[in-house]
Amino acid sequence: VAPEPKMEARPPALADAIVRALIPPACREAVIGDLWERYTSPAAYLGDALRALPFLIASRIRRTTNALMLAMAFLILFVSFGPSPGPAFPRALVPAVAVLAAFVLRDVYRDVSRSIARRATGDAVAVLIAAAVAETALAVTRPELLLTRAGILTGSLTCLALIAGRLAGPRTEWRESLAGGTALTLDQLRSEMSEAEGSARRTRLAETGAGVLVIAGGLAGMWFAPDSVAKIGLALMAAGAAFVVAYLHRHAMPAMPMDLDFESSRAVFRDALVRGERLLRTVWLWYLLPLLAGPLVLIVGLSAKPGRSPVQVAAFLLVVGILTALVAGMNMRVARSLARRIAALDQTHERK
Amino acid sequence: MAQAPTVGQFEQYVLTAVMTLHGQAYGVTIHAKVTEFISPRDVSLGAVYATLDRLEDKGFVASWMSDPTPERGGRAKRHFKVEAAGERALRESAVAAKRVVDHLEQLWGGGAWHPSRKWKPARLR
Repeated sequence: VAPEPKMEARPPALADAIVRALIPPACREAVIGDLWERYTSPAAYLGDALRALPFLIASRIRRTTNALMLAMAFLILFVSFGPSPGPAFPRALVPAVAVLAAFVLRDVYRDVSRSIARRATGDAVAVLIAAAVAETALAVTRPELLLTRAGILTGSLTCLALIAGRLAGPRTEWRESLAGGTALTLDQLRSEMSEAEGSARRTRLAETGAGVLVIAGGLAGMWFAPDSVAKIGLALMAAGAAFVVAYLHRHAMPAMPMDLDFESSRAVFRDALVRGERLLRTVWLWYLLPLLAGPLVLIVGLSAKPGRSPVQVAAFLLVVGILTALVAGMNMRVARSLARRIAALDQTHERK
Repeated sequence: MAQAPTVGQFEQYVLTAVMTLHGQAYGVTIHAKVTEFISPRDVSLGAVYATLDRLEDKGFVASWMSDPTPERGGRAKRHFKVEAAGERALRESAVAAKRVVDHLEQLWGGGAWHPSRKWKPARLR
């Protein structure tokens, strides 16, 4: 009688390494543990993992992707890849979609334990690979749609700006750590507070950096502006950006105290979140209005120029309008999320 | 006023599974229980994970990580429990399902529960 084949109790290292690389880090530990528990053979192990993978990725996309943010990033990328003669629409569409897909996948596979430098490098490499794959595919199928040098330059700068903007965001999703009704230890609450403070600081730094660039660009542009309307528009742009930067610093989230007891810490944190929510809900007043005045004057000046077609002016107005609506919508969405977070914080109690 | 989130059919299965497992609810056990509910159909482990994430976002379940165990290669389990909102939503959907069942029983008679037995819908009799 042939001896019974010895049952392997654990998956082979190679299969385990493949599964480990494919499963998003946020759920990796629990999912791989479950797969180990169900392990019967390498084929069944890989089959289980591959069948679960689309659901895990879809769920992560749903949890990590903000549709409004995605729409805004797409619009910005599309415009930045487009400055070229010829068929701008399909030429800008392919790299914009590829880069966006890279950002979405990076969010799915985001490892919050990594440093900011590693995350930024990962983002940059992913964007580079996505754009290279898209352009290679175009070179083979539709070479006339390849990006021009101007498109590559403006697109690359925009990608760098988007990567910097992504780093300013929160490192973890609050709903994964501060769910309604959950008991928290004082250390966990302090860690939440410190994370929120860090996120607010990074956002403020990114906004300040962008504001300084707009102020410098507006002031420098005034020297070269061909007419007085353009000069006024650029001056308004610079003034609007200066106002926004000053307003943000005046209403910055205060430093979170780390020496208070649970109830006092929660009260301080709640106050800071409420102020943040109010800031987001009034974004029309202190952010969009000051920043819109300059571009609107520039468009008015543009439309007065001879030979400028009304369609071009309408297109500029449309882009400004869509961007404004997206920024407003995104801020309202974050404000609603903050309101839910405040409600969850109210239900949280101390775990000793 | 925002409407309270509701539970879909598959979410009902998963919520019920978490509830019946009494503190032993994690990926493998929940999947086994859901498979038992919908037998002879099969369901992917991934579909259960995705549904648990959705239920957690709705505030219907809460999760926490347990200590690592050797039979899982030193990995922790992600345990689930049903929150009060989840229990309320499940109760509401169960009441609605019960009403549907009552109506079907009136319409079909007892034959509705025995698909192998020949039965005639009351309306056609």
